[in-house]
Amino acid sequence: MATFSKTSSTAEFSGQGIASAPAFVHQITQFGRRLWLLGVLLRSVRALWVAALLYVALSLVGSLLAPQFPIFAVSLILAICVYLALVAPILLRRLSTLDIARAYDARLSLSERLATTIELLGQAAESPFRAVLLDDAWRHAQEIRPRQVFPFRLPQRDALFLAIALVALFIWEVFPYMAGQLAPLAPLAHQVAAVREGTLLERTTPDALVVGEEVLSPADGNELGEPAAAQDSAQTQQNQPLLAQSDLNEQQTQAQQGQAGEEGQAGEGNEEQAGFSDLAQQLEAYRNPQINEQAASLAAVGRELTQARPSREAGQNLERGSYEQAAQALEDLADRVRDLSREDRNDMTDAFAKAAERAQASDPRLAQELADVSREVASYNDRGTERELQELGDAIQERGQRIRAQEQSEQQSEQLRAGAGGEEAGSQQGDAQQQMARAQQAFNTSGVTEQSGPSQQQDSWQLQEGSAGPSQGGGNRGEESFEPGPEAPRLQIEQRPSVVMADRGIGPSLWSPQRAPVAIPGPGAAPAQFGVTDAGNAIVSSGGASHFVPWMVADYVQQYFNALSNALEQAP
Amino acid sequence: MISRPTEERIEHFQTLSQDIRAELGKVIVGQQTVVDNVLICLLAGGHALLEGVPGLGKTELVKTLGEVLDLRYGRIQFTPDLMPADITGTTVIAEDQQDNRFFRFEPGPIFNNLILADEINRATPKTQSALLEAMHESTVTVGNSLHDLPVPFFVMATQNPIEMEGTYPLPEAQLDRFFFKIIVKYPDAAELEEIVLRTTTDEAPEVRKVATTKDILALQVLVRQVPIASHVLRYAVRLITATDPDSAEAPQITRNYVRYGASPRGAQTLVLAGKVRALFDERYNVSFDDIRAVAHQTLRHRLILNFEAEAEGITADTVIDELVMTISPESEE
Repeated sequence: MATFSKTSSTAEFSGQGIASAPAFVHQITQFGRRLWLLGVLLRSVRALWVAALLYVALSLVGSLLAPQFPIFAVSLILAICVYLALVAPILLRRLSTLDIARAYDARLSLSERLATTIELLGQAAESPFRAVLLDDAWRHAQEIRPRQVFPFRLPQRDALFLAIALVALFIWEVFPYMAGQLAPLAPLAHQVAAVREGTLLERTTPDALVVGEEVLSPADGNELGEPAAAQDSAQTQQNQPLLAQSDLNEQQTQAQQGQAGEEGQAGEGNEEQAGFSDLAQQLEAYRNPQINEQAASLAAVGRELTQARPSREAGQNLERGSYEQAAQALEDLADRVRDLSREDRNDMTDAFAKAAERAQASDPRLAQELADVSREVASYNDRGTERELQELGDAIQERGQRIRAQEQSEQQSEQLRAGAGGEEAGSQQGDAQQQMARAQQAFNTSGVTEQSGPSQQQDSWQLQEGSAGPSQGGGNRGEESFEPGPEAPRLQIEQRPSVVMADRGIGPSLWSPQRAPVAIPGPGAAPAQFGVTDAGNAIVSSGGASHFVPWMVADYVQQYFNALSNALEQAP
Repeated sequence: MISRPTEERIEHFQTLSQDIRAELGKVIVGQQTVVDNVLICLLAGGHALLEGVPGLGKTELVKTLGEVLDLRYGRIQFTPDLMPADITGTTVIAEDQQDNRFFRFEPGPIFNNLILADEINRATPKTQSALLEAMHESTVTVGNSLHDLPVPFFVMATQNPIEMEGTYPLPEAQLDRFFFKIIVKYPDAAELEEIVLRTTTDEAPEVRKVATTKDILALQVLVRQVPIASHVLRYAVRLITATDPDSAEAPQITRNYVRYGASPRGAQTLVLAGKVRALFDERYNVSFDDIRAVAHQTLRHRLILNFEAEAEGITADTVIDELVMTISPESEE
């Protein structure tokens, strides 16, 4: 704050007209500009945090009490109105010279010199003190530097409230975007916890681990660290194709063993037929009827979605069974939600609501996703709509994978039946072997068919069973990126496959945006070797191939492999 | 353009006030605030009540002031048996040369420019009340005759603290007529040393007269011409209003402890004293600080506190402190 020395004595008076009333009033008026500008700035900041807090509070209350009501738009309009109502008066206010003089008097401790002079100049009656007071006030006014007197500095209280308002806005507005991106963190944490509890990792030897001619009892299996907890029925149903795959592998290797031992002998064709029939029956047994219902439900959903222009492409793809493309179309739709017109939104609301009704009976979860989209569109919540559309796309993609797996299993089942019939018709033994090989291959890749391609490229921790070892001379193999080979090598224990199955990636994930089953081959005859990367991930080298194991499940898998290796060593 | 006469008058005011201070300083050691307040009363045309325990130089200060100013000086020693006529004067029977008897008014000591009412609270209220008319209207009524007092007329009263033996509290009406109630405090060690040094030798300080009656009257006129801004005036009025327990603007302390607030005379005193103080401070307008600076001596004898205040040890100064703190000039805007 500027300070002023008192008038030392009246001898300093010049006695001349160094100051005139108009000049002094003009000077004070000039000072007023700075004061007005500062007032506008401070009021604007104050109005900003008030409006921001009001918006957040109203939005929060509205979203809790009336989710269907478009509270965001109302809150925004109210906040803008409050802001304008607070700022407008100060913008329109015209400070009088007396107000300006009082403000500078107070700020500079001028003992009311300026204000008294302004008042005195405005009085009709002539005061003997008029000239002396004007001269004194003029000298003080000459020393005033408005920028120093009223710097643009935010009061501590306003700064505090502004910070609070910005944080609130960030949490309310920006964080959901980030939450959408980081949403996988929550399911990932859940997934890791689940993995550690053994609820998601599943051995392919549920009843007994066959090592050579020895059969390890379930008790042995528990000793090896196998999780004993039974999975719930839904999880079991979801994993049925995968279980079928591993069982099929086991059956196939058994068939191969039998084939190798009895090759060239007559009468072997009947056993081969029996092998095909068994496999076909197992495939039928693992067939999930709900999958077909879901496929039909998705087609019905697609038909409804075609009724709205924005979702027509997604609907058509669903009708065609192109689930990947349908999911992609929904992603694209999410990106342009903000550009949708009112009519488009209304159409979308209706279409998704009807689609939800269609899916309700066969797939309640999908119906819920559709209803969520409809609700968010109706409430003009673009962020919520984007999020729900993305989740819907993920759900459709997930169901598409299941449907694909089931379709392939059905195809294989038909092929196996056809193979068995052909044998009966006297076909060659080599045809049977090819059929078996195709069946195995189909099952080996059934779980990853939908995600092969882009998802593999972006998935740095995706465990792929199809990494081709050097002996197979397959595709390139990196530590954290694997491509499924046409003939996925499978580590075997005495020619029997032993794989760790993991249902990995629930929902979108930073690391694995898609759900996919993963099979980690067992160590075979040779003990598995583990290496740990800097990031804490593990590399499993076993059976001539290396496999990447993410840090979340590394210790669990290592335990499994070590236990298995120990069992192998102890086996005769 | 600065008015030459005004400039000269202001210069004269400051020169004269400095001279008076200097002359008083020859006799009175320290007590600068007391001296300034007495001067404010003098230049504003008010009466001063000095309160303090015996021996602090109250009487000496007023006596010296009478010597410094070229005014007619009179002293009244108030005692319990002092009668009103001893102050105002009385009508006596006189004889002319023809042995004709007639009534003649014999003026009392009050008929002077500067009155020292020493130990005023030792007289009975009846006698104290003899000063009422004189202090407010500068007249004295004796019998059916109205007698004007000389101009200027100042009463500088001293009193001992009320709780001392043999004292009578001054009536509220008379207290209100005093411009200031000035509390005379003990001198500090250095001042006491100087007092002892000066008063225990055979050299008596000599003071000179530096102001005449005409000077005093001119300065009083100048003081009344000092401008005051409307918002400063409103602040003074709000301070006075806040002392009224029945006022809507009265703060809690007033409602709790004040029985009667300051009279309008208190507001006049605040403004006039503020004007003198502004000139003392070489300014030409009254500021908020001027009003605040004179609030205590203006209001402390005008606030009549209730029993609760007395029971809780709340003094008038405590109330005034609170008022000055709670009633801010900015709160008006």
